[in-house]
Amino acid sequence: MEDKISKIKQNFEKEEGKISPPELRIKYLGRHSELNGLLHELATLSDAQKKATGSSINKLKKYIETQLDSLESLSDNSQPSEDFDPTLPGNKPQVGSLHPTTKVINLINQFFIYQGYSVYEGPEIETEENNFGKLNLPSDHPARELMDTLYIKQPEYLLRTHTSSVEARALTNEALPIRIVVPGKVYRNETENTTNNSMFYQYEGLLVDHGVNMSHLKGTLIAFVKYLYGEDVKTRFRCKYYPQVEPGVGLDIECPFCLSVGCMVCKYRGFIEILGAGMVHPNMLKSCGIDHTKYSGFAFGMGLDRLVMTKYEIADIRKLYNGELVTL
Amino acid sequence: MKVPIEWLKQYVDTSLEADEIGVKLTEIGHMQDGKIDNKEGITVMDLEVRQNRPDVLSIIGVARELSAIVQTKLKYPDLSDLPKAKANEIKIEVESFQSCYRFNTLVIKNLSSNPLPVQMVALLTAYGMPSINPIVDISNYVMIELGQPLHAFNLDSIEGTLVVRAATHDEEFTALGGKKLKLTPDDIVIADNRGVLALAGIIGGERAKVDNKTTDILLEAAVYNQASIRRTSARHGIRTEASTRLEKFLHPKGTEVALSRALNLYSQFCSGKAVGSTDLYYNEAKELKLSFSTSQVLKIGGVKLSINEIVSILNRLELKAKKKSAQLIEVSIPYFRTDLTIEEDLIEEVLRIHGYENIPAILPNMAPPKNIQFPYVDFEMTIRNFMTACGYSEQITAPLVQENSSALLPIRLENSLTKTKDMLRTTLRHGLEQSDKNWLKYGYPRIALFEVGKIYYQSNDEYKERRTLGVILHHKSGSYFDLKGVVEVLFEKLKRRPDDSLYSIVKIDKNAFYLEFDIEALINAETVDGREVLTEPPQQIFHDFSFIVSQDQAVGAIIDALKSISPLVYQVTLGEMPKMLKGGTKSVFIHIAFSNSNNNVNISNEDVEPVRKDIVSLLESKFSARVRK
Ligand SMILES: [Zn+2]
Repeated sequence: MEDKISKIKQNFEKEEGKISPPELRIKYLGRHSELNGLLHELATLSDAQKKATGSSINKLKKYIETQLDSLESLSDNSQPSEDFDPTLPGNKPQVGSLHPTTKVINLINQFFIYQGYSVYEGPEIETEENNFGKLNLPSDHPARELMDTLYIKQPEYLLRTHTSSVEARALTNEALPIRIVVPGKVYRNETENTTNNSMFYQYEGLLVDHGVNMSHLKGTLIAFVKYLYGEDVKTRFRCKYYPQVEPGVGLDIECPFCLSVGCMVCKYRGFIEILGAGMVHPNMLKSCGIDHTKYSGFAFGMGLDRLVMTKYEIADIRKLYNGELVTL
Repeated sequence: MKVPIEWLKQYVDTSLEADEIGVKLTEIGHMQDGKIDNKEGITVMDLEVRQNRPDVLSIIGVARELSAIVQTKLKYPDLSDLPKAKANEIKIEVESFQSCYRFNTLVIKNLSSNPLPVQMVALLTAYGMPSINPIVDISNYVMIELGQPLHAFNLDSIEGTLVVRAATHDEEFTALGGKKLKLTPDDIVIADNRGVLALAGIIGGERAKVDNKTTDILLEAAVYNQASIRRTSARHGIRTEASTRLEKFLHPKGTEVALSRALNLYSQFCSGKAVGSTDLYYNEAKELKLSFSTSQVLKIGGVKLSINEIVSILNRLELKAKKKSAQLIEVSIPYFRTDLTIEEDLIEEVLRIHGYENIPAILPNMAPPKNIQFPYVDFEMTIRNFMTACGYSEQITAPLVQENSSALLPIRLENSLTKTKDMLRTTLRHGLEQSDKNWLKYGYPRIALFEVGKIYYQSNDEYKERRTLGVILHHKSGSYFDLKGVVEVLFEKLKRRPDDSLYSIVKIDKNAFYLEFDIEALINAETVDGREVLTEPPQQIFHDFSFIVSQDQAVGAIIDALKSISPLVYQVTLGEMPKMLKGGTKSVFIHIAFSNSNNNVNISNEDVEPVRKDIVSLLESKFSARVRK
């Protein structure tokens, strides 16, 4: 038996370079191979012999397999099959992408979540009370008319004109202290053009706690603007009027197109306004049931669309939301 | 507000150049807009004036702000005393003090028509008011200088009593310039016995207009209900220098100052003489006094200022501040600052003049509050990420639409500039179909889009918003089952028990399908347990079942029945798509993996065999299947 086994090994080694590996595999490992035949003969042997011979057969089998494996892998590289053209393009998987506005919201959320804010939401169909009344905008306040509200049922129900309505809800319903940011859709009754759409996005922030003052607002906004525009961005804090806040702040960044010299883009201001902010008006705190002698807070709000448009080089706001935007 | 710098410098001493003035005013809240202009030798700056600061709609107001920064005293223009004792020869009435707070008039006679000083006319023109004649120019000059509108009527044209009243329905009026208006009872007019002479606070009329021959005038300065002015101005589409000021909160005190200033100029340049005056002022406003605790500047502003610094800043703004104690200041608010009503307003005054740039910047150092778990935020983001991972791209489409096709009752808008978008969507389908059409133009062979957004509808007289997932798949070999597969994996990934009532899939055309999924119902659906990772493969035994059933028999029902037949059934999958056979039957091939739900216990053929038998008999008895053995 052992002789037969070593004979098979010799034959294999002789033929190794001459016959193709698949043929060798059939001849030496196939069902009708000599080696397989020997396995059947094992039955005739004594137990002790069975064990010894069986192990020799298995050893040879393993050896042949290893040899064949390495031969095959060699031949794969050295002799590519004729129809294999590695320069053909790959099969790209279809990959989906998020809308640019969602991406910008995620980017900004990331900053504020790290600062301890919760992402908060509210309805788009609002009451006059939450959209105006609680925000220190009593009826007959000129700002109400300036906002060109879309009404569902005048004067009570409307489409929110700003995300500040959610501040009123949060201040009324959530426990203090509070830190929230609110991204969301807002609506205005506007003639649509490249810069105006009846629906657009705002991003609102609110922090109310003990001992909050304008230095905290300034610190937060500067850190945020640096996060968004880079460490070297130049900012300008202006006094600005918003009914919901007192004192009010307008935050500008240096115009990146003219570096504050003045150009068409910044309307020769040298700066571009990016958000409005201020200390929450005591009337607003009061109307939401908060003791303004114990708590103070700041709020800020910004339009998101211009940010998205600048980042993704989109010239027409309508294209963001009318299905003409193809994400690559 | 256009500010001719030469005019500004009549009231405030400063060596600052126009651009430096622009920077300073911008910082304290009056943003310089556009380039500094030069109009025939006069430097003109444009300021964006805050809504609540009508006092800055005047040169003196801007000068006052500038003087507070450069710390020089404001030089007031000269005033003349009004002849208070002598009433006008014309009788004057105010119908309602609800709409007209003060109506102050002055009759001036024997006016010459000598030309005004060239510089005065040049400043007025540089501001943007064309010169008309000396009498009108002076009234305009005073309006721009002080911010209180004035109107001069030709005295000879007034017939009978002059009355401030509501217009009658469809009352006719010819405005200066010839525009004919039909008025409504919501408009306030100044009228005589013959009819309307002026649309109050907005524009004068042709009949009593002042021309080159006019020598005697009735000069009027009044303050009206600002909302009424705003509405009338909007209703008739007329915005004038007067209406932009009177639609804001002007203090009635300003009328007497404006008339005194006008009288000074009329006597100085037109040699006119005041012969009488009338003042209808129903409810004289008292001077407002605010007490101001200086600790507020630190508490709200985050800036440490001494009481003396605070008093100094307030006084520079002509807010008369007096120390009451070590901490307390009493501030008398001058009439022109109608925006200052509470203590916080004064904090802003102190901070803006001190300079916002001098406020330190500190990140809030209080402990962050407990996170508010807002349920949908993360859930929707998970869905978005899942959809993009499945190869679908996100869209955001307009919630305001033209058409809706769903059984839900849409919400309509009462006012909309765009007739084509006058209701809220009750489905995300139309927006996504529009996106699909656009993507098609780019030549994409497989269009896979989704939107996570709200639909809006009415139910039981309530307005509802519902978070919804819309998905569109447009592909020539795409199918209903591609979207159904998305649904199945979504249930699996979100660990919710599958429920066919939470979504619908409709065929849009030959190659396009639309899926709509109720996200709010999904988040509230029954949750199922399940591991997200495994470290060892479960031991499994497989059996295939091939059988023939009636074509009417839903395969889904068979699969559901098999899944619940025994806890040992681990997975039930379709081996291949069912084949239709003759005689109204079809062949179905189902592949079942059996496993012990307790991963540590192995499963044996002996365990499976009774279940396998149960399955065969279930197929035969319940579904009348012929099972291939
Ligand atoms: Zn620029």
